[in-house]
Amino acid sequence: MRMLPAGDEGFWGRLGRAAAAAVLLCGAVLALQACTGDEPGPVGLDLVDREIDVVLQPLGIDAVDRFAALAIEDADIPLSRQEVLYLGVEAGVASAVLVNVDFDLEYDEFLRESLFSVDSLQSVKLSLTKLEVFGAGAADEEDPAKVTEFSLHLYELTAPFDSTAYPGVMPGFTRQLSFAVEEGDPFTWSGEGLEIFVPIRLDDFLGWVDDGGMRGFMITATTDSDSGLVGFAARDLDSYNELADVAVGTIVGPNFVLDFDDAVELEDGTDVLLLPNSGDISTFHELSAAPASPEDGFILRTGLRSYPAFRFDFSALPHGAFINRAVFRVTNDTLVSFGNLHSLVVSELDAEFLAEPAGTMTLDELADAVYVITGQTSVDPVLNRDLGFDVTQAVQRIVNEVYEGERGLVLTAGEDFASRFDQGVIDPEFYFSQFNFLGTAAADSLRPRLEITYSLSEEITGGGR
Amino acid sequence: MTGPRNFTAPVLAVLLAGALATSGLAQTPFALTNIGQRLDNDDARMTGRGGWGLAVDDSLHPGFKNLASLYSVRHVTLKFTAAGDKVLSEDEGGERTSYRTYAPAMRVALPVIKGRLAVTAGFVVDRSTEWTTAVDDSWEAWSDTISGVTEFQRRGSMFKVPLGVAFSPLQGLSLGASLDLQRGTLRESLYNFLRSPATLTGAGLYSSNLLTTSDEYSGTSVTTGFLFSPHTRISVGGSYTPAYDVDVDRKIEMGGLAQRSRSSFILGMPEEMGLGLQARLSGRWRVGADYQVQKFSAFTGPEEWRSAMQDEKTLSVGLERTRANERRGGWSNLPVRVGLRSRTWAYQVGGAEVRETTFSAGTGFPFRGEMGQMDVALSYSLIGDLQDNGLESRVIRLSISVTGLERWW
Repeated sequence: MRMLPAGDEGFWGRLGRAAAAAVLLCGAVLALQACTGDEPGPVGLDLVDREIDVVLQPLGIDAVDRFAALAIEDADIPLSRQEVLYLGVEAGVASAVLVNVDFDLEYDEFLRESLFSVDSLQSVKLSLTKLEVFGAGAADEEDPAKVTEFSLHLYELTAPFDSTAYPGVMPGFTRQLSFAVEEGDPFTWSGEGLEIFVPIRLDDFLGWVDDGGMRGFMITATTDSDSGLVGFAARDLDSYNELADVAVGTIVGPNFVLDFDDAVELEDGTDVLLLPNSGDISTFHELSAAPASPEDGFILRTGLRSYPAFRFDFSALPHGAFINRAVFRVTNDTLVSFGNLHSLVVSELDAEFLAEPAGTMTLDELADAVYVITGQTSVDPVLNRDLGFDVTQAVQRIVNEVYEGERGLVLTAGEDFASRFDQGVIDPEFYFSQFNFLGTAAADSLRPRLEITYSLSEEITGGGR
Repeated sequence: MTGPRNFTAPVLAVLLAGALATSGLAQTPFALTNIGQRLDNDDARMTGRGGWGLAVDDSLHPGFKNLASLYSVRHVTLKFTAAGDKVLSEDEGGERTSYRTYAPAMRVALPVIKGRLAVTAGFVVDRSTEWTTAVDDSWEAWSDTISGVTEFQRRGSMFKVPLGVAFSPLQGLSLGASLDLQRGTLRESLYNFLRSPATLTGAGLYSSNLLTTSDEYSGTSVTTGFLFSPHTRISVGGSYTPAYDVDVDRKIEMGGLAQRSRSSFILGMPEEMGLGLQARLSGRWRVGADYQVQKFSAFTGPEEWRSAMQDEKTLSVGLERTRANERRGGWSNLPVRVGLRSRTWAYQVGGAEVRETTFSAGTGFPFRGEMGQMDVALSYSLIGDLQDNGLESRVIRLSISVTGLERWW
């Protein structure tokens, strides 16, 4: 027998043996780890005595303890700067179009003062260009039925309109104008096509030119018109994508189209002169006030923004509940709602803004006051009746008392602050639409409510924070 | 005397880090309740011979089971143990095969006065628990039928960091003592995975529930031991750990909730004692036995635990043929170990005590120059009884230990 003294094997021998042992050990560990066991199953279930005391308990909350219909103003885009003019009557909203025109014409070698006579001027028309979404009637192959027929009156105002007075009552006028067509009072427009040409009597027009100065006009839809609030391009229109194709050189805002004798040649080589307006605005002289109480229903309006805000009574929700799901449900009355497709967004709102009566906020103030939760895009006010918004995390935050103050929910259109739901380049002031929602006095399944599903562990309830 | 540096220690350190990082603690379903399953933290040499080791005195292969035996070490000694299990568990709900790897112990002993005085430290997992159950489930809410899985997972361990000393005041007698820092965690997680109805992205429409209870253990205990060899063929050893308290901080949380519950209580851990005997037979053969008991009938703590407690008793017996260095001895030089261990668990399951019986065998491979050894053991355990406990498990375990000796001074 020979005992090997320690250190006899040398440096590399020791290292090799240590490494061999390490490899063997690692190999054994890794080999076992590579084995794949069965997925957990019911084995041992009888020994599990833990359970969550309340699992997926439904709770409906329809008690609204504070409500506000928030009027939102956009200081950057007052009504007189909006891109769309609205004409017609729909669901309690009526609007006429006001136009100011400067008749102090600047004459030159082409546009001579002498041309403004019955000999040279063949016809004058007032032109308005309809937005494409309001349809072209038979000319619209995709949607030929989508058209509003108008009977129009045209008034000469007592004075040019004052843009600060609108929305407001219709201005005073000196006279109702006759149209340059037989049996043309009122002037009936079938709605076909995307441009209205309202025939103006030559003597009226020549008189305005002779008198010079700024003159105001008002175009109204009579009660014989179809129901509908139709948008036309305003002089400030920039969103040309909302128009159908128009000819080059077309002035899309309200303008007078002057057709001279064929012998006349103007600077552009034609015999047609377009006289643009100097200012235009929608009157919205009938504008139903947003209900002050949610019992009577509530509205979400774009164009002239009005957004509803709520604070629900959460007293029925147990302290320490985990929110599995919370859905904010509202019912849109599609029979009276109208307008274009919009994104609808639900946001948290500091409850201090739920004052009664509701105040007016600027768009910037609203953006600072909200925390966007969720939303839906392309909601059609005349088709989409039942709307649900997942507000799970918001309700959980309220349960968790994340905020110092109380929080409510506000329903808005797809504003810039809700970037996920702000589709395209059109902001909510462009299209005037109104969603009329059923109020808290409606049937249980129709009223605004929160459908909450929660779970609860009594081991946590009553514990420290 | 100085010699070439032994690289066992750094290699072991790397191994330890790697193994600890991947140590899973999957066990048997018996671990779903109470204080958890006793973890076999013996090295592979002891495991191979049934677990006895209280009366062992081997300076080249110290056992660490009885600290008093460490007095004789003449080198810095590092011992690392890793194990892998294949577990087949069965109850009326069916069967499940699971695997796990774990590293239950890492020990070190340093001679202060060679052959008389040594100090020791280490990391030892005493108890651990991991098991997961999962069943399909469904609920009704509003107009939805919500389907998913209810899963319960229990996972944790109780471990200690012993800081000890061993001393031999007289020839044939040694004493040992350690201060053990007791630490650990236990986490119970109950999930309701709500998978359907789902959104277009596949996420559940309803948020899943997660209720967790997390316990953190903290305490201190003292362990003493003796080793007495009245005759060259007979050794007797024993150890004793008086009762001690473990402070528990409990936190109960539900995922998504800011609110949580905190509480604290004390686990009154009972005293633990063990007595071992080793006898040298003819030639290279030795026989030994250990008997250990921890009086969990005196345990204080959560009532749902205490009411099921009983004394934990372990009897280990085994036979070992020690290794030899015969020239051209071949396989006959290898050590051979066989053993049997019988244990009654600390707590009842299904209203009946849990019995665990383990059969084991093992061997070892020395490093050149008597500077350490690698041991392996294979064991087969039967835990519980389907009739009495409602479930039973069968465990095949491969244990591997590496003992390294260093001359640091």
